[in-house]
Amino acid sequence: MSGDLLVEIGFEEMPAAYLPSAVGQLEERLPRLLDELRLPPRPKEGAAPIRVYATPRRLAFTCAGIPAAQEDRVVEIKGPSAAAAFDAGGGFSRAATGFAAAHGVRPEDLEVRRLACGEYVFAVKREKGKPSSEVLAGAIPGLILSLEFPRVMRWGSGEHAFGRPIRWVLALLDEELLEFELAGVRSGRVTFGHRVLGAGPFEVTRPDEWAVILERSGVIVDQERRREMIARQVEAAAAAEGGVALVDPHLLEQVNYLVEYPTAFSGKFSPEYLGIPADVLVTAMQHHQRYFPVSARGDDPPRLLPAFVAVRNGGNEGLDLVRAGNEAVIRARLADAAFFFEEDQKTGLEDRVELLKGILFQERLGTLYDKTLRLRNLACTIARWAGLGDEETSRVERAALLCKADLTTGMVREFTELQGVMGREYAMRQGEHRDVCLAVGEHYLPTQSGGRIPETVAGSILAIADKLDTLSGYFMIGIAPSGSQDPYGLRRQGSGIVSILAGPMGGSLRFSLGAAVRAALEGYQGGRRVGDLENTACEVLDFLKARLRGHLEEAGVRYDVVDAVLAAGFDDVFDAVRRATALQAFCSEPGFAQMMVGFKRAANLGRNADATEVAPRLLIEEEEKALYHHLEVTSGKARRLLDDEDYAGFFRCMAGLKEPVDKFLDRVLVMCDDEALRRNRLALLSSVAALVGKAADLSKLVAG
Amino acid sequence: MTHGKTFQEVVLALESYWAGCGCALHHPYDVEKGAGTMNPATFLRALGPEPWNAAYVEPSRRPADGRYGENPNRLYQHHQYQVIMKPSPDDIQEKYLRSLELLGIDPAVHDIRFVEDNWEAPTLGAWGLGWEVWLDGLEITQFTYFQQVGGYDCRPVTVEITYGLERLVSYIQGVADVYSVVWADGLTYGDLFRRAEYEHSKYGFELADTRMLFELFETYEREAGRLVAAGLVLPSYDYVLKCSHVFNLLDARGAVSVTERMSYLLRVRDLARSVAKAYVDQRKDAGFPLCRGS
Repeated sequence: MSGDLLVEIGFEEMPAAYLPSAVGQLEERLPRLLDELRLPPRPKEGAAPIRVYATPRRLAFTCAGIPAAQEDRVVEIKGPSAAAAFDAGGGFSRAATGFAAAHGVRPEDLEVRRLACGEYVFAVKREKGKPSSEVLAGAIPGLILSLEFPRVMRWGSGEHAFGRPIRWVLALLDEELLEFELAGVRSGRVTFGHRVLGAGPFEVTRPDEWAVILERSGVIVDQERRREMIARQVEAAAAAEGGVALVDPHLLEQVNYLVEYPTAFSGKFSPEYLGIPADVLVTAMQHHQRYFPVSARGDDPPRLLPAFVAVRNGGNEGLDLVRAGNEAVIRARLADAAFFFEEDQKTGLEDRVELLKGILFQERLGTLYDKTLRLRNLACTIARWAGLGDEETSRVERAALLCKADLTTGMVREFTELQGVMGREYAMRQGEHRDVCLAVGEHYLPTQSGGRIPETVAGSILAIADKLDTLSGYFMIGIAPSGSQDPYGLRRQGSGIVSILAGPMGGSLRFSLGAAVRAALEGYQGGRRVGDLENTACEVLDFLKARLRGHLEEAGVRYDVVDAVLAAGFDDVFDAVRRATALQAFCSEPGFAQMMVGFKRAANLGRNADATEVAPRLLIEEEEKALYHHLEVTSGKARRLLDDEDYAGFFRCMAGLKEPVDKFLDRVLVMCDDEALRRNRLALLSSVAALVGKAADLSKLVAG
Repeated sequence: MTHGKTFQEVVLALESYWAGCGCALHHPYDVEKGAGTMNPATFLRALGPEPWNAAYVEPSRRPADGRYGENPNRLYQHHQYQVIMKPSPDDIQEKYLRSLELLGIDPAVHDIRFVEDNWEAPTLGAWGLGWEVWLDGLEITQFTYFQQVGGYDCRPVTVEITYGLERLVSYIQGVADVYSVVWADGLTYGDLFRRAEYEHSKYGFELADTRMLFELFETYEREAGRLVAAGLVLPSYDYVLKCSHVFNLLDARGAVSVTERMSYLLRVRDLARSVAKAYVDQRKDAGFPLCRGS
């Protein structure tokens, strides 16, 4: 005997972004909960045991094959030792009667068990399994209220908190109502449909009727199916406009949780607005109106058509009205954008730099004008370190000067997400060099973890300088992320620096990170408190080291390889990444583990060395002469490989030292009595470790 | 050509509908303010345990949004229709949707959506969660469950519904330009307000005497502080509102740098908080009179 469980929580429209996570939480917690409750579902062959559904107004789950009751179980509780449980006369002691009473059994039912540590009495309780309906009714409210949302709210007179107010609860185990209260709402047998297409209420007799009733009432409960419907409809609507829809997966996901019953339709706007930069049009449609832009078929890069596709929550009725309404809204928005676009260009970017004096960067770190001046110096410094010529450097400088100016434009005030992008567009239109424009447009990148990074050298340099300036400034005034607290998103800035340096542009961005951090900190001088520059520099570098560690581990590099590589330095981030990649590959070669044994011993012993110079005349044993000879030959080659940054070759070259090292360690007594010989042998081992250590501290590697 | 209700018919319909839902009809408060939330019938009445249901039109001044009467949908002063219910009723969304139907908006042929929007008014020490309501893609209403007001947790929770009347009526009448909206038969929005929009924009952006306004801010701030200390909640609050409006004028004029901006906002917030505290204390001393019979 088993039954099907259906629980539906109805609420006022939940924010679209909350729902995928809520689904995930239920999918993860439900099986665990049922296990804890001793109600593991046993669904029929091929049936999914647990399904979770979400729409803007409901979160629901079904579990097939729930047993009718918990299995009976026997619980054994260890009590006092047998010696303590009985008095001299063989009767029960106070300890025994107390223990029995505490667990609700009679003293004479206590059982004596022999354990390894002696004899003890046990209370053995036979617990009858409770009916599932009772167990579930007790557990479901806790499950629902344990869901985490980015923000919760209270409503009415209640103290309950949830993502949005809960309005109905449906809970059935087969035909049986599970009775409980959730946030002040009594569970029932009733569900509600789409607000317009079939509001309800509808009584649900059995769990398997639920989705059918809702479908009839205009609700597609299955989010996967809804998403497919939307994707298909959007494509078709775009095709009707003679183009293809630009479908951003995030937007699709959002729209999916904004509708219970999707109907896509297309709309048009006047082609005159195509003169506005495409990024503005896309932002207005995508971010502000949740529309899918439409581009001409087959054009690369995409060329926008004066059309959009929107998705309505409902059916076909009155679709022309809905279309007309949406067209009017986008027309007003684009008219605004066109106005800003024209107005903004009346003041050149360079003149706008002055206006940055009125925009605060950070209360204690001055205005964006101050930041611009710092940025100009820092970006130029880094550009020179990275080997850029005079002309290229002057373009970086120009970009640094202009990069924040778009924050004073009407367009960016209205569409804040277009910062940088508008700078690029305006710079292009006022005839700035292409590199300058692109650098301005790229300097906020990446805007999210794993997001797009700058594709030009100048943009990369400016992006790094901007982030280094922010990090250094915040650390300088004592604002650093701690634990989960990172209100200024500094971790993202740090990770951004690392991902640029470790990315495709990294090879053209070779400079000392330490020097750059110090230069950034020095930028804050000039009347302002700098504090202990060296201390702050170390904090910033440690912070960046942690970001680099995260970057490497995320890329699949073993943590001990990361340790080993970072111990050999990360001042040149690009180089550190290359070393990590090579060492990671080297680690998986056959014979690596055995090789490591010798090298580790060499490194550990070598640590006792007080000299690094090896005196050839003090080499007596054949094996030490051999090792010395090998080392002499190898180190020349190894240094060339290091110079060429051929780390795979370098590690292979080091592998050639395995045999002489092993033989040396086998045959030569390092810690001998003769002090001169001992010191010489230690120096030899330490030279081996030092050579390997140029790329990585192999002693950090974990064997196996 | 016009179809749909006139501006004043929309207001009348909302008045009679919400009165029928148990709201006491208030009137615009006679001190300049940026939003209906700042009317004491919302800001103060949302505080504390006493039930409260009210509705009113609120002309709201936003100097920075002035466009000299030339922009079809941006205004120095727009009109909000404000509904406040405490505790928030369980069927408040249905109540709201019914009000739209009464205005001639049939949900069956439109697309009405509740899109997440979190509201925050730093100068009032207030925030809440809710939605903007979209009518065929147009934001027509702000729908908020207050969580905190004047720094106090809201217990019970007040729900605030703010209709943007200009947008709503423009939509109902099918006009793209707010100045073509028919206010009453034979009288357009433009007839009533275009000149006012021009003059206030001209004043706010070009002629406002910033030195005088800074002085006024200081004066009003002092007076608000003095009165709240004397236990006069409402007169003190009037001066908080005046501070806020003067600040908005200065801000629109570009007279306040960003650095100073925050400090002015905080000064207003501190005043609002002390008024909120004084109000709650006062009601408590009076035994929360409106709790009777509930």
